[in-house]
Amino acid sequence: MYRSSVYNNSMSTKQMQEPTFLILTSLAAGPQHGYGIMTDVAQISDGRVKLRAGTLYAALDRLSNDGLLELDREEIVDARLRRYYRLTPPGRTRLAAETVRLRANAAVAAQRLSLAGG
Amino acid sequence: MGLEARYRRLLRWYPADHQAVHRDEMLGVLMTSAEPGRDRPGLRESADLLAGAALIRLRPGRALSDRNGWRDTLAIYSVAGPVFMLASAILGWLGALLWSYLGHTAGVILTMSPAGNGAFENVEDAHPLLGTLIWLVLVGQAIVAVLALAGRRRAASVAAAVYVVYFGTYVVINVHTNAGSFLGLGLTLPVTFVASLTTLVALLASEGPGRGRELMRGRNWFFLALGSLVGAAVIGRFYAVVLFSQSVSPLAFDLYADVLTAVVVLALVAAWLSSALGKRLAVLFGVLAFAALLQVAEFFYDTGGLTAANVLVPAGEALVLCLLVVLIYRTRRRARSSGGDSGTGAA
Repeated sequence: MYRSSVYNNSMSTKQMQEPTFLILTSLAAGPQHGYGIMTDVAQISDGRVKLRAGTLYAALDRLSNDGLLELDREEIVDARLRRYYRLTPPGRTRLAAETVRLRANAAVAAQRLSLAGG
Repeated sequence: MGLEARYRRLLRWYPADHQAVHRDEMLGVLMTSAEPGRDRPGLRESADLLAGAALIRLRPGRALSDRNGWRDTLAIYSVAGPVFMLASAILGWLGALLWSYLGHTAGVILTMSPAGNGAFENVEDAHPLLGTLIWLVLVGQAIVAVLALAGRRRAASVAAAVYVVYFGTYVVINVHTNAGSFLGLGLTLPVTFVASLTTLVALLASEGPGRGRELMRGRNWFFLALGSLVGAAVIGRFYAVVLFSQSVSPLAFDLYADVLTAVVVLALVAAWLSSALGKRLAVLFGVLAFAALLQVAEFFYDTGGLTAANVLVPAGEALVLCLLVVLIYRTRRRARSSGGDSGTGAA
């Protein structure tokens, strides 16, 4: 039932991997640069997911190609280029849909656990 | 070598277009997140960067985003095509020399070359004029390759045009001396003729080998040389099988054709999933590969008369030629509409 309502979303029919979900979550509050995303993802996941640069930029390349995020601005900090990314409206929609799916799954799990416990 | 230089070296594995946009940014991230005092990337970090590069390169449908598209691809091919054919000729030579050292007639050298006629096993059996023509065809390949490598577009175009006309004449004489044998034509026409024709198309439609050399900086030369040798070895192997394994069963021939097909398909898929330039280059070399497969098909299945193979194979060759005509037409029209002048490249 959940599957049909969530997967009818036109943006994607594939389940989102956790690192992707965390990257989009990191960008949900506002634009972030690469290193900022890495530290934010570690913080959000309580240190469980540690993105490395290769993984991060492969994900950014894919998400950018899919139209889920885009370049916000560039800055030079300490003679280093920083490129900030932001969610696109389809990216926001996709993250929201994934959040609904995860929440629904979690609710079912919690309900069954309480039944089993009671 | 410091940490940053080592990171730069790892980042070279990323596609050129990705490097152009993200290299400095990724360097910033890598240097910021590096542990203090470290002078080389860790094993996991290196593996992660290489895996990231592979993921990006292997992503299906990477956009064809390079600016000059087919013109740049043809410029590379105007060098790569002649180099490939020259490598093929040299390998054919070496194979023939080895064959003669093994106690077989030295005359086979003439008939062993990729431009040669596989219908003859001894040079005495061949028409003397054909022997001369074969040698001149080989020299023609070398001249086109040397001029292309020197970046001399106009001279290479003239040499290639002369070569195409000359080889066309050779094919006509070949058909005549073989009493119109379709097999005689089939063994010489596809790869050598299509290769010379595609080279001429590339020289005329692009900015020429000078631009091609410019685009093939760094390790691209290594890949070109390696690809040429592997491709030439595959084709050379084909000639060796055709000429010297007359007693091998048709099943073995079929198996060889399957292997050749698998290699070509794998190479094309690999190139297709890589850069936009690589995809387009794969299409051009795919034309050559297709011609090689047609040769195999013609040799195995030509039994004379109006068979399915005798209809389909020439139809395939006609298709290749039509594709080339469309390619040169579209490329030149696009060059004109964008204000470029494809006819005045570096000479």
